[in-house]
Amino acid sequence: MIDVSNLLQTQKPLPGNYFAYDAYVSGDYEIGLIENRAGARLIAFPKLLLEAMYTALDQEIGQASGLVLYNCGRWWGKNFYRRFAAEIKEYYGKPLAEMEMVEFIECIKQCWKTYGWGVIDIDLSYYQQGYLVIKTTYSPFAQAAPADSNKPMCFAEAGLLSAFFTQVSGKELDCVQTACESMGEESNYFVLGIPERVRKAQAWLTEGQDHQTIMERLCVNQAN
Amino acid sequence: MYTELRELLYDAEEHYLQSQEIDKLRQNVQSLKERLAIYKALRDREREIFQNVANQLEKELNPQEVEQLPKAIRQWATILRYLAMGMLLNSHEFIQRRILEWITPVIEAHSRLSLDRQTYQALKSELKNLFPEKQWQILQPFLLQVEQTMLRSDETK
Repeated sequence: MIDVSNLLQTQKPLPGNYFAYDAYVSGDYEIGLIENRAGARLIAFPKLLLEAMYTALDQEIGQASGLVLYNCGRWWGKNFYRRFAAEIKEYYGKPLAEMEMVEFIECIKQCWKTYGWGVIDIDLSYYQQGYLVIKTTYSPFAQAAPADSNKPMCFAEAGLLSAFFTQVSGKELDCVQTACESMGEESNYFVLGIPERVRKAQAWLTEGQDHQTIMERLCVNQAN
Repeated sequence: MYTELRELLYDAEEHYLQSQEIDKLRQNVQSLKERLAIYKALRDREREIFQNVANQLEKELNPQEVEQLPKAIRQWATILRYLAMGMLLNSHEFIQRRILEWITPVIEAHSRLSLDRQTYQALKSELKNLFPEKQWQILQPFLLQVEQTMLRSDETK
């Protein structure tokens, strides 16, 4: 017979959604400060600032602006992972490594949404081939990108994802964006994998191949 | 209560509350007494409620499901705790954001929909027996919200 009293006392279930936005973000709007429920200060980027960053970097350094934003994203991702892991551990009482995959995925999905970065989905169907596919929609980075761009523009997001999942997996991962809302696509797709493998996607992207074709080629390439 | 009271507070910044608005406030305060009583009963009788649920299900489930039952009981105890708070605040939004958005995909991933349905049905009938009709009418919409979000959503997939 199950002893419920003992069960609920000794094996406490995980609490609810840590990142529920009405619980996670609080602030004093009069003096313009916002912070998260762990007491860390947050910064809100107006869309205009994001647009200005794209424009200013393009004017100052031209084609290198993508690389600069990607590296900014890498730096941001490392710090984001550190804070994310610490907050999760504090609230749920166990480290990320001990969480079930579905719990981890839900945490990152809720966190992404609450931070205002859009909606994120993690596709594990290419896991056996060594790739992780991330889909985001309503990305503020894509919305702020110049409308006339002919290449994926979420460089900072790609850098953030590569650094974040490098920390999660313990393996150095690179990230290539294969579809972008700024180019009229419905979603943004990011492919993560070991650098020498995933970088091949960059060449196919320059040829104008779509996300699905790139994934097929990556998997064929992997099998050979 | 949560949203309605907040609206009344905003309205009171513009004008003295009128009879209709005062009635709304009175209804809220009166229903709060009932809500508090339900909340306290759920808090104080949590273990008894789930012990009855577990005892009933242990007789009905197959051995594989009985193995999974402790985990299901723990998760449903969490859901009921959030549901109780949502009911106290009269806020379906609270339940949606704080627990259902988070736990629905987690439970779906465990592929034990049949067990969760049975746990829910046993819990629902336990609560219906526990509360008088007046209090049950207050609690029931929140249980229905849980059922519709967590258990029916899967049928359409």
